[in-house]
Amino acid sequence: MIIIVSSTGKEATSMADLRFGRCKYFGIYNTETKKYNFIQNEAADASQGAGIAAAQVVVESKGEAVLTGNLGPKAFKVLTGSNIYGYTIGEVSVENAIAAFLENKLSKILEFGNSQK
Amino acid sequence: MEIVVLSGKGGTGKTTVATNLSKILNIPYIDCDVEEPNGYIFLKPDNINQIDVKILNPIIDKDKCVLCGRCVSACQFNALGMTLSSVILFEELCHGCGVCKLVCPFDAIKEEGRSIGVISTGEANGILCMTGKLNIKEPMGGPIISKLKLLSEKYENKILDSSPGTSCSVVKTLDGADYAVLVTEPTKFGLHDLKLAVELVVDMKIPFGIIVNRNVGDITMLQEYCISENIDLIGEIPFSRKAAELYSEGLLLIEDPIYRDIFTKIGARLMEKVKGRVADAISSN
Repeated sequence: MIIIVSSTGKEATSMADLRFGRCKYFGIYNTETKKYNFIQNEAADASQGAGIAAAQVVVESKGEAVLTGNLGPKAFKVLTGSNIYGYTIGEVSVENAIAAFLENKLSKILEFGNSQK
Repeated sequence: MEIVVLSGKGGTGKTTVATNLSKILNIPYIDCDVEEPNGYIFLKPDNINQIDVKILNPIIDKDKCVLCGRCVSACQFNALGMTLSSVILFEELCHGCGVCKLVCPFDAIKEEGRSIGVISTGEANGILCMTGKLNIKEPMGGPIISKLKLLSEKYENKILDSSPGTSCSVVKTLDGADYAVLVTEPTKFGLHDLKLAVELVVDMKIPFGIIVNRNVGDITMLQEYCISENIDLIGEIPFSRKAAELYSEGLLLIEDPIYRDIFTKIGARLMEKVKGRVADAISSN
């Protein structure tokens, strides 16, 4: 299974980024090989549509779950259209986010919008 | 002469200046503040003729689309998203550039016009009043401004009322203008945002002058700025209860004889500056 985490840095110990479309890096974790691959978010500074572009990265990386703070309506639409779901994380490191997900401690994002309200 | 009225700061009196000057100079008024046009309230045009402004959006033929993703990666506005089963268009992000159709090797994309706003043209006691209005929820006024400029091309002299700030809409309105009038108010906020607007018109190499609105007595700060930067101060409009009353009733300030006199003088001085500056610009090229 491939899990994508929005991240502020490119290490497993980096803090996760609670923003999805505007995060600096995507941490791509493969549960079979237990390896991380970090890629830069090219759309982090896009004037518009960063969430859509980020969702595209997830779809293209064959991600099955997204760990992030919130999902906007457009990213949500692209992800759910591919049967990919987001799971809410707090201020944790990328590796701790993955660990929490694998222990079934995270809740599924069932609607788009700001989860910090 | 295409004269654009802008301000930097919002609420300084662009529309007040633009509508009253159009009337005094007897030239068309074009409202390019398409997100919140309000010049028509003061000019009260009738015999209105409306046209839709459309931009082209892609329509994806699901039977022909093989989900190659070329259109999605070519779109620099991120207006297309691809799921495992289809390509989705987020129409409010689409600028109608057509690159998706160009890059599709399977002929799966055709384009269709989508209405994003309306342009109303009417007559207000002898002057033409053209208003662009962006539909609610639409984020992009640029195509309406371009259309307004195209439709008003045939009028040699005209005043264009821009949106506040120094955003893309203002740049679009200023593009190709002969002269810019920067309206400000004698406050620190007014001066701060005026400087941003000055920077913009200087960068776009458009000759310009300043009108100070809502003068309550002391405009030393603005006069000093104009002198130090060698900017023309075209005129000043005094604040009064009468002006506020006329405005609140949706009337032009020139309904009042004192203001009519003030605007007549500002109008004459503006035309003098416009002709002088434009001649300078031509000779220096």
